[in-house]
Amino acid sequence: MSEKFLEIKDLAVTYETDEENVNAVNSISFSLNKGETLGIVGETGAGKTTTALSIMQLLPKEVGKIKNGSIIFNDENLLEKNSHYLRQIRGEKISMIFQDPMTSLNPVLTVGEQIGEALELHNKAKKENINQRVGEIMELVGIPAARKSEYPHQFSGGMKQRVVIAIALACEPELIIADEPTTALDVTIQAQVLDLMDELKNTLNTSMIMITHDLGIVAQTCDKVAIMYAGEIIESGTLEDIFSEGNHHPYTVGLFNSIPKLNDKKTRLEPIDGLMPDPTNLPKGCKFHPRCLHCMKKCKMEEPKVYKKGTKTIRCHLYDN
Amino acid sequence: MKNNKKQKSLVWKRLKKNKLAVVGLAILTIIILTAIFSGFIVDYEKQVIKQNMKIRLQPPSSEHLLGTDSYGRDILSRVLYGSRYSISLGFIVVTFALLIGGTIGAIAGYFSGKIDNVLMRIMDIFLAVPSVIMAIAIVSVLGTGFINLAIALVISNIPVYARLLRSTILTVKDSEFVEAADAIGTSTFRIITRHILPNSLGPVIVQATFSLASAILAAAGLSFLGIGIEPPKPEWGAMLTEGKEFLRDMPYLVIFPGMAIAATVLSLNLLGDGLRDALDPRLKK
Repeated sequence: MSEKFLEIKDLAVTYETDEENVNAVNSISFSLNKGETLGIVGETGAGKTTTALSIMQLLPKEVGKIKNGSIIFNDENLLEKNSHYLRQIRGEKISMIFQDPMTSLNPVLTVGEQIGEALELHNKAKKENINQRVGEIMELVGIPAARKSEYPHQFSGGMKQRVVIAIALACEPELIIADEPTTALDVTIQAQVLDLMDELKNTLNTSMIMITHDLGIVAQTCDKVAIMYAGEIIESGTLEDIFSEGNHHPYTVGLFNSIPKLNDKKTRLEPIDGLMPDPTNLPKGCKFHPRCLHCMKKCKMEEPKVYKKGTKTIRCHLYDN
Repeated sequence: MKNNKKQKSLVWKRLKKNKLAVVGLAILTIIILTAIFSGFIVDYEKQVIKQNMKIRLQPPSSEHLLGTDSYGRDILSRVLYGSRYSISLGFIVVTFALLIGGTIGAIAGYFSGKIDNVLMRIMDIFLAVPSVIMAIAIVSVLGTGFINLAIALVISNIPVYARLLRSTILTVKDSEFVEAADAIGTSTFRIITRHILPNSLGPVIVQATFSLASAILAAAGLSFLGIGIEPPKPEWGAMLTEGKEFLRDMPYLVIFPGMAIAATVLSLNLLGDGLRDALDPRLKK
């Protein structure tokens, strides 16, 4: 169960508008094995959602362009496939949990119809059985099956997110991309939803890409972590690699310093000064250098290479040999 | 399908609470039933078009409840029979305008870009001409008659629906649930028909009831001008024309057909308002 089944190589995505080109994702690579969960962490605008959308090939038409790279899923490059093929993959093999459950459900269809839609589209069940299967999936995510003929507005936020998860799970996909699944929920519901996703992942043995800006969620659910900054993965490794002491990218250190800790008596947190660089006009050299505490001359001139140690990679000049 | 039924009964429940809408629906039902069964209630040959100059211009009496017109024809029979033209014309116009205009608007709204530009500029050309002038032009080319009048009204209504559907689809198509539907592999056709259209339906239904009313008015207006349904067929607008010479002495010649037009239009407007409220999910209780 450790075969690589999703591999992304040198993926670059640009949003081309009439005024400017936004370099949202700049040459990122990562891979995922069966049953694993990868956490993608980063500030808002770091390119996390763009990465997810490009795997699904759902980038905004006309504007979002994949410039380079390959997305290999089950030995096939998704970038070379036609839209008909992709439609079969979506929902059945790869599905997505969206950020905001309040808006990602269709208000005029009952939740049962919406969960059943994926089954119907991918012929996962016979027409007579869809109803029964929908009931099973709803029970699985903790909604009474009797509520399937209700409409989304009759559900609370946490329940709606469960419906969204149920839709994503309906066809038992091999990969689930969860794009900040708990951002719109309050903390108590967050914990429930995360537990639920963890449990389902284990029973169904699906892989997951968890996109979040919350390191707490990563610690709770992920096996591997990739930290993104300005469209690049600046550090990646297993959960222990990232969370244990050792060499880290200055940005990762900064991220951890901005989390409140229970046993530290500090009156103020240490945020990372400054803002993410403008993606239409990225700085030369290392993209983090304007905010970096360890900035050297070299950092402003040339892009850092990837420094590898075991399972861990860091993209920083500090660790040049 | 079970759910569908349930939703319909919900809409019906909410509609029933609105007294004005129920009144509108009742009047409209009566008018539609009259239109359907008028062939059985009155005899077209003997009562509707047969002239009898001996009894012309009689005021209402027990024999002729609404009086007789300048050719001695029973006004009640003519008003009853006239509902046929108005109602069928209204429904035909709305159905075809909605189908054609809606398709154009849906395509323009969903695909946007060049297709949108080309389609909507064509619609703009149609919209630039006032609909009555347009109808007059079309009727003068095709000739008068029921079908030609219908064609003229359909053409002048198409751009209205094209614009309406395009704009509602533009607002709905960027919703996250459309993206979510895309993410589970829904086809474009299905996204439009199952996810986008039902969410754009509210304004369309309201527009449909109102343009049903305005189509009936336009048909009456064109017939009044003599380019709609030709006499001796008892179209309400045509009856107004016939009666207008006697307006001062025999006002009931225009009052009764006029009331028929007003009642139909009013009932449609009341029903349209009620339907809009009943269909709006935000007003659900």
